[in-house]
Amino acid sequence: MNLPVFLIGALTSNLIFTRALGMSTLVVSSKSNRDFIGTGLAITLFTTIGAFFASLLTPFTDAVPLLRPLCYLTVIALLYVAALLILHACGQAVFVRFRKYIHISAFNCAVLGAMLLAGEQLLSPVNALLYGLQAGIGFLIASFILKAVYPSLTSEQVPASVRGYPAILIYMGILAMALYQINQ
Amino acid sequence: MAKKRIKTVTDGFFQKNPVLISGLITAPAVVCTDTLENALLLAAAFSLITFCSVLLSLLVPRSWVYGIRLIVYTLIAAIVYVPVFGFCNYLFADTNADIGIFFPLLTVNSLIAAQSETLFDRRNLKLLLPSVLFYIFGFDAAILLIALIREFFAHGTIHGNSTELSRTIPFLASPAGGFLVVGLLAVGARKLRIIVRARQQKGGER
Repeated sequence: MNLPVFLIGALTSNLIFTRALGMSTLVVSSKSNRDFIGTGLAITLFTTIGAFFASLLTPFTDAVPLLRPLCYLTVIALLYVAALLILHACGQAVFVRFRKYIHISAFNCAVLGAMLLAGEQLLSPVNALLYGLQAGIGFLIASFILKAVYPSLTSEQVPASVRGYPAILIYMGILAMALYQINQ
Repeated sequence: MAKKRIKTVTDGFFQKNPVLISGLITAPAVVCTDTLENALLLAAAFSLITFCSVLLSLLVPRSWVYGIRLIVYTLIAAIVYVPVFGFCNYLFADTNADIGIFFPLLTVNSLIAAQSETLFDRRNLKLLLPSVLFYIFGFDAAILLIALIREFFAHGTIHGNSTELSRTIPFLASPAGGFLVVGLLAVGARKLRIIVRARQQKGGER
């Protein structure tokens, strides 16, 4: 695996900038340093393992495409329960501190989206794993980019009607426009 | 009291619009609203999946732990997706492929999954159903407006009919253009909300 190419791919094929997947979670998680790292890592975990299972399930989901969301959501549900059980096994303090990231991240557009795209592209299990990892790292990069300017976009100096969510959308739009030109 | 209750029920349409104000559902609004036809399909699919899923999720006992309730809500939505997909495929046979993965992604929208219990008071059925409907209408109205603007300026058409617009901005049909149009409309919606709230406060003081 070529790391620079992998990271450039995570940026140019970013699920946030190219498909807006996980935008609402991104906005919530970018409010603090701890939240953006915690949510980003949890989403990366779910997209990576989720895309791998999506690839394994391809023969079945191709035969019955209507059941694809049900299959993928069952996988996510199992991963969600497993993640919570592992956290619980790490101790009550760890569970209380980190469970919110699992709750926010599991049933998320970015996770289901990465699985649907991995399944649609008929990737091999290893490539699907890398694709999921790239999607998750892409989410982390987008979170970092938004986190860096979040205080400015929500500042009292910004007019009330633009402050917060509208400013974030316009900012993401400008970044998406730059990436759109790079991808052309 | 009754006035306040009515306001809470109707909040989803404008004051807490899930697309333009609270940003609960952004992805399909940004990506799939490049034409009115796509937006109509999305509105129909979203309305049916969300309404039926929230209705069926009322059967889930509150005594179950949150994690299990969340799983069941999304699995209900995935089951509801099957007949809704068939119905929408019948109504919009040519358009269905255009919105691609965004159709199944509706099963994890915030109104069904993450925010479902925060937004809707499941103990009061009389308030719950109209409240869900207003959120759905709010989403539908917002995406139809976004699609109308994007299709007009990006393709120079309205629902596929030519408007003879001499200059178009094809970029607006891309997701980047979607971000900008939704962002600018969100600014307008926020401004309108500020004006409405100021008037309501003035009226209350009198």
